[in-house]
Amino acid sequence: MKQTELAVPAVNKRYKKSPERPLGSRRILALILLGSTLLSCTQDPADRLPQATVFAEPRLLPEFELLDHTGAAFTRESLAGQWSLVFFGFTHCPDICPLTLQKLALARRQIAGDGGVVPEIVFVSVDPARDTSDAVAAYVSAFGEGIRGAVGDIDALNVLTTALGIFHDRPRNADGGYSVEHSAAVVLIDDRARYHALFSAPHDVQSIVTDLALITSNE
Amino acid sequence: MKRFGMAAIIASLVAGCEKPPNVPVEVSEVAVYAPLPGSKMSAAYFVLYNNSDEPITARRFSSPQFASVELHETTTKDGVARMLRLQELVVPAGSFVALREGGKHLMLIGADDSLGLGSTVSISIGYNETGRLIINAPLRARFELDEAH
Repeated sequence: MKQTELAVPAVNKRYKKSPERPLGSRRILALILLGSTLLSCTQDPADRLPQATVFAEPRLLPEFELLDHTGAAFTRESLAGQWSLVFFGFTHCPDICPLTLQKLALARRQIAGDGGVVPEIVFVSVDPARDTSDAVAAYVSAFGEGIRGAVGDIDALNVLTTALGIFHDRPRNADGGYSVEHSAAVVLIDDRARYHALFSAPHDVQSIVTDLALITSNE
Repeated sequence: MKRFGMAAIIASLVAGCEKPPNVPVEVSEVAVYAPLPGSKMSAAYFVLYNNSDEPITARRFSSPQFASVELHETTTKDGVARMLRLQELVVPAGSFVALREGGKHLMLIGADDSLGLGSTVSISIGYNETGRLIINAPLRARFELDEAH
């Protein structure tokens, strides 16, 4: 990475240290300029706008019925009581799904370390033909604590994905198999089971951490 | 004796820095991930360099530890992630192509049951008519579970 060098004027040792003298108007002006520069550099991150799309009026999710990775019911009520970062994917996905879950797990870990509002991570499979509760349970176990898997048939999935504007499809390949296409976005559900914000891809761990702190502090 | 020892160290360092002569194709930044629990799929990433004066085309990919190896590219357009199978990877003369997470990658399909973290896998990349490059790399974890707790 290219580094930017600060232009620091060299000290001219020929000059002797100037005697103490009262602050002149030029020095006061210089100090004000320096102070304002430092202030702008140390702006609280919480003052910035989130990069996520945050809804002015969070939308209550419809009732839906899926199963979580333990085989227990996973419904709208399951999402109430904690904030959740929800990602849609499939376990046969070797690239973007583990990459995204890895970033969410890292964000969650950082938030926990910062003492913030720690979200649950929810991985919803959009590949019902291959992804059972057991398959998803094994898959999510690789990403540490605080992650829940969810499965369901297409109709059950569509109740949730339609409400969230999440696209998913399984077009046939020439070889008779199929590929899975899905929205790469991460959805933020608040602790009242409302669709609160949307993180578009590509995802950045630090942006998620900062945005979540910003969003949850405003609640 | 002391001087001889220093010379030997310098010689070995220099030897270590030298590239083997006439290597037309080589890789760096290799990362091969272990399949996630319950999955027999994984992915390999690397940077493929073409040091020759002619473009190369890689078309044949295989591994004795996987049933098949395919070249894929994850694309995200209009917010939708799709994985496309690519037939070939062309690397211009004196250039390189990077296979990175979220982009081009080798998809490793049908992992041998005996594979685990640290297992060495061998991936063959066949290019042009007869060229072949073998990558040997240990399987890495996607996510360091211990650090997650």
